[in-house]
Amino acid sequence: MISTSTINDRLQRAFRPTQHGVIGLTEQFLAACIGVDLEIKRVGDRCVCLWTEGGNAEQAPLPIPPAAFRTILARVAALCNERSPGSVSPYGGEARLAVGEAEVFVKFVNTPQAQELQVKNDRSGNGVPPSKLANVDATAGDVVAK
Amino acid sequence: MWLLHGTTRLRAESIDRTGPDVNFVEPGGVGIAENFSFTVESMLSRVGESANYARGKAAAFPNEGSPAIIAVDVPDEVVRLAAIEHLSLFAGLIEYNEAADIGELVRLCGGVIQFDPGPALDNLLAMWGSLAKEIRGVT
Repeated sequence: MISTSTINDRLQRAFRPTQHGVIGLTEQFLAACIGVDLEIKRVGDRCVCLWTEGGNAEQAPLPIPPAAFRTILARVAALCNERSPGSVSPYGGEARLAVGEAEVFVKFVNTPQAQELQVKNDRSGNGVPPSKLANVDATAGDVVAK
Repeated sequence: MWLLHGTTRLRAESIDRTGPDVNFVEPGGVGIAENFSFTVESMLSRVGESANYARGKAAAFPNEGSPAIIAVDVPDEVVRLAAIEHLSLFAGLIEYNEAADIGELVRLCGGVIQFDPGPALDNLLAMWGSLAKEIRGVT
């Protein structure tokens, strides 16, 4: 089990300064999610990260406001569609992403009414066909086609 | 610099007349838009193309007509201001130089120019009536 302190460490790693803009920040976040299941959602005027540890619901605030989070969600949607065009709508969907050597399952909503992102380890496949696999090169900091 | 916003035909016509409305509430919605985003014509968008956003909106709101893009020619200085305001929302997580080339600022934004309430939006709305605009169909 990955502890709360580890997840907090990962969030700090995910949200560290980057010179690569929205693209770099999104890739840092996805890379930090490898091995953990978590959800980010808007709650009021802020964004929070939620996860479960030992049956207990845990949460931590994100250092960015919803207006910035929406751009990251838009980038996640684009990543899904860059590999498999039309696999998700800009407003929501689900797909698997290859992050470096790992895979994660993402499910997101990006509308005026809701902004949410779930990231899960792709242990079960979650019913997402391989055709919805998109790739993020976590080391190069860019998307690559397999 | 031509900016593109994908939406439905009905909304494109409304935006053409009165400008972006960050207080817009979608039919059946519970929250206001809060901001308004464009891609930049002839620049790579890393957050999706306007045509895809238009198709998504038209599919979600079939009573609002076909997918459409409202295109508007916005002065570079307003685009620059919007990009800097947007990057500032990331609370220092995105490193940028305000004096950088506008192409670099747009690249850091992922190719999206987002107008949130603030000086850039105020400027855009103040000059909206005088800007060159067109509504483009999306196939």
